[in-house]
Amino acid sequence: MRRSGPPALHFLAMGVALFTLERVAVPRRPPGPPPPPAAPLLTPDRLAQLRTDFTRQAGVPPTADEEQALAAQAIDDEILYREALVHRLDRDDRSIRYRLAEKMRFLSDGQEGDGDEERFYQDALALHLDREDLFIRRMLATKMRLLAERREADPAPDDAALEAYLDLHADRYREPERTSLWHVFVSSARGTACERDARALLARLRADAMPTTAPLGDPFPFGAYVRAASPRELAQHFGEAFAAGVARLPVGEWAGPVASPYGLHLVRVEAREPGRVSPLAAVRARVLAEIREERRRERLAAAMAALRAKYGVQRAGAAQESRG
Amino acid sequence: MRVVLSRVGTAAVLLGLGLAGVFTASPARADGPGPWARTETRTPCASFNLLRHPYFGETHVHTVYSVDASIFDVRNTPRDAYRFATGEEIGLTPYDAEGHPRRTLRLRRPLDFAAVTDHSEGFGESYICFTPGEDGYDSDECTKLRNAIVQGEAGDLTTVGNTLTGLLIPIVALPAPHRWSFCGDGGSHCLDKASIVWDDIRAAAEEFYDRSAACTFTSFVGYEWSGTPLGNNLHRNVIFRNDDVPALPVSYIEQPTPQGLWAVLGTACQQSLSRCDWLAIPHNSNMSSGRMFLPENADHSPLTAADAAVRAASEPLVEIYQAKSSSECKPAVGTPDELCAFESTNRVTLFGNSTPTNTFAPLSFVRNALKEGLKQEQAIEVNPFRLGLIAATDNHNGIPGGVREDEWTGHAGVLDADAAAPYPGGRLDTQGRANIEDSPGGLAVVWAEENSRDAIFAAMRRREVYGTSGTRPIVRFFAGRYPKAICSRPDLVEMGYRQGVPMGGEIGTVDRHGPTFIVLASKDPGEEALPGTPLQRIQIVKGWIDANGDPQEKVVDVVGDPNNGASVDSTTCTPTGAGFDTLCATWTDPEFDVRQRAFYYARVLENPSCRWSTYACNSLGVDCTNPDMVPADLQGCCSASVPKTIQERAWASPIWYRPEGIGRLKATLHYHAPGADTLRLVAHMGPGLAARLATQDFQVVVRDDDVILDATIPAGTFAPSDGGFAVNDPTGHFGGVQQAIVEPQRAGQTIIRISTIGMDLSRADRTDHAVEVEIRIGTLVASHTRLWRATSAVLRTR
Repeated sequence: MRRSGPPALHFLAMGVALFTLERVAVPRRPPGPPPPPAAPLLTPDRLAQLRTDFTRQAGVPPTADEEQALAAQAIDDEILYREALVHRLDRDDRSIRYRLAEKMRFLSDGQEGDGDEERFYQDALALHLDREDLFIRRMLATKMRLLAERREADPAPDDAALEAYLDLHADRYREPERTSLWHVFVSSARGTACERDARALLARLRADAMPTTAPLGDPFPFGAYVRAASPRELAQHFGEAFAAGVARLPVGEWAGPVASPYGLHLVRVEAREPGRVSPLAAVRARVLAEIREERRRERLAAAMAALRAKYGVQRAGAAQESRG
Repeated sequence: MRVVLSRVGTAAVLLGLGLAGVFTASPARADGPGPWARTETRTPCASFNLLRHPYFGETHVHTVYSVDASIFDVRNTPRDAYRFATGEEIGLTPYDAEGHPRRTLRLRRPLDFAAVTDHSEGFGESYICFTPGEDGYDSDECTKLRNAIVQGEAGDLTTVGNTLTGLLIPIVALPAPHRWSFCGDGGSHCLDKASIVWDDIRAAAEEFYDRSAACTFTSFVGYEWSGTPLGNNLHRNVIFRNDDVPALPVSYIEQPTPQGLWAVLGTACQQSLSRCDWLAIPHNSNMSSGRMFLPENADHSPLTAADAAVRAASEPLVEIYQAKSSSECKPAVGTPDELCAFESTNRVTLFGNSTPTNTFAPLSFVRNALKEGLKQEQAIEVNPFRLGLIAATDNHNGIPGGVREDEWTGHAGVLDADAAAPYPGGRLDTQGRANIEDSPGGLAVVWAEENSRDAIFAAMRRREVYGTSGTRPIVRFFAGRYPKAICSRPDLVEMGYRQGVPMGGEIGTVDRHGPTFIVLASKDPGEEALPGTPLQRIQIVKGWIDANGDPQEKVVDVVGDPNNGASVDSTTCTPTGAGFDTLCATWTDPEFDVRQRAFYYARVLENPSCRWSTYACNSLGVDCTNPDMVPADLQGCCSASVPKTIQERAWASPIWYRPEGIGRLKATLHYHAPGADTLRLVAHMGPGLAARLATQDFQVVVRDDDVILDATIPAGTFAPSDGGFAVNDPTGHFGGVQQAIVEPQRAGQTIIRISTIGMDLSRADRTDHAVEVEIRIGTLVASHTRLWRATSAVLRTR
């Protein structure tokens, strides 16, 4: 399940995607001082908090693997946050400013006065109130992640690339099996006669020379012919039991009765076509979107690896999957 | 049984005459005629049914792009909404600090189609307020908006409410709306950014539109026009036919009147773009103080025929039911119908309180608006309120089609939250900010040949649609010349189309007893673990204007059993009692009056089932036997004014009877050598038409997916002849017409005969399909659409 940031973050993603690095408010000023070298990336307190949150959500404490994943995630967040500070992404953000000023105002017993916002803000910074504010940390980490995964001026994938992707993931683009059939409907409104009538009709249908053109049975809302329906469509209109029953019938002969929520049906399967992979022309937009997503994930993974190296993070086991 | 078996013999005889029934109708090709125009490039659908399938969808849902969703910490995007519609699990508010959703939801029965319809008034503002670095990001308005979200996340909904009221509502509630301070001159800065959001909405729709032959899902580009002047809800959703859409939506701020909206959309869409087409669907007339369906123009002048035609063409449908209650009717507001109490609200305006003593203007309700439409048609010959009926959710969580009563997750993010109870606990307090009157909403169902944009849009245009209150019964409704025993004929549906018109259609005088109506309904087939509720009965609702000019209505039980004693145990929600799997009946109106125009729509009722509030209260273990022990914020569970059970239902679009309309039609198109085809038709229409011919143009149009014949005979051309009027022209000067005769009959009708010279009519496709004949005399327009049959030589009615 993907995570979502606050709406801010979705729009930010769109904004960064559309604008170059320069046009997003990354200030053109020299980076600030590096963070204090001794500060650990993950404190025991933080880890304990993550453990508690997990337990509360999931109902059981995390396993060793789960805890390792939580820790890795938290370290990634911390790295991004610190890198955001290095790039001074916090300095021009009005809502961070507003939030910190309000916090400081509250702590100062609600002293009034506009224009004191700057003073409250500076005081809040001096007290490092921003360091503990989860929203601010998350906001800055996300801003940094978006900058890290930003699209370079790479060319859109060409048809060859799209075809190759389609081939590689053919199963995802396979169309369902399609069944065409005639059916004669015997309504449950006939009561106890329903089954008897169905069997009599079946005998008739099997015996007649031109059965498919004889109007028999009761009216059904979409007629007697079902054309190229997928299993899901059959289930949707006739119920799941019917769809399952039809799947077992031979082609080209009257069979049944097959039950639906409405009564019994005598069915003659005309054709059953296995699903084929959609041609590119039909799914181009989807394939393009998926390739772009894949490339974005790769760029982010590379950027995270570089950042981890920079901050001296060691990983036991495989490289961590970056967040989607 | 006996009847059927003997018909087998008859059928064998009929076969010999080449008049075999339904089975030869179906092999129409998938890339064959619509009868609608194909306006897009796509692979033809493998699954195509000339007799049409019901497709279930959502025409009204909001995502993070609507400020009244994002303010409640709703984060689902249009792509998330489409993922949900197609059966994927998505997350819901609230989110933890890491951004994980604390709730998730999945549709067990995916939708066939959906349109994401966010409030267009705030697109640019949303973008700016949530994109650091944008001009306006630091503004007061944006800062307050973001702060409200943060407060709401933390559980403080007062700030959210105040921000909604103080900041957002004025945008749509001021009669002379304006944008926020940072939007610049004419709102240009915000409109500039709005296109970024609009482009993303369009891109999301494109990504999820299945253009392959599988046709598993159809998305529509759309948005909501959110005019709410002085709190009166005038909202309507604009749905575009395909991906050829204007660069920006037309919002309330640019066009603060519906008439302005239609006019500017007409210019920006049909007149400017090659394939563009749209329609608008109004909703919540119940909260419009009667203003949604006022028969007047924006300047309060009365409607002319041209004005009415614009309205009817722009808005062929109405969303009769959604989360904010039903707008069908209300007990005692122009009706004694007790079933109007279904999901009924006492809010008169969108932001008002629900007070039982509030009084409603009659035109707040669709049934009354339909009657008003008849009154207008009587006066100006055109019905402005020719409304087909659908339902939707208006869900602000980004979950289209999330209509199940037993697992309703609420309407809009943290609005439904409650400290004491899981979602939608915030709604179970009768005094609460989130209204217990609200409900999950319903679904839109269209009868279309295939699941593609053109097919579904065309179905909406011709109003062959119905709405449900959330379940999935299958409903057919026809009017025409039918044998009384048609319910035992398996070719009922094909006969329905060949000898009459389906729901949404219009019909003229068939004979003095009026048309025969057919209703056929199947219960919701249900899912593996959740069977559908049996049907209880089908009703027909008739509306007409009496001799004094007053609106009248009558509700008739046509089939089923209102006293079947079916019920549901509200503590366990277990249903008891019998019902019907399918219901079928024919009906004629015993009070039919040839001179009196009327509408008839069908209402299908299920057996009782639990309301969402009952499910929610039961799962919280609320015990009303001891009211003092029930917490204040769950009082709604025990309130006598909140129904514990409901009867889910479907509303099928009306069929309109028009005295002047085309009641009978016989037409034959002969294919001869190329350029030498001929068409002859005979139409029975109402009285008083011959008198117009001196001063009004006469036009006949025959069309399927393109125009087959379009002939105009100017005013004054018809000359008296044999008790009638005629035009004889061997040259076919008037659009190919060789002879046109208009014959008033002693009994009051008018018979119109048209025959053409040999001409090119090859645009008429040579397979069975629906063909429309339209006859216009001045402002009077009557149309008649039926299924015509084809052989190699001929295309003909019946």
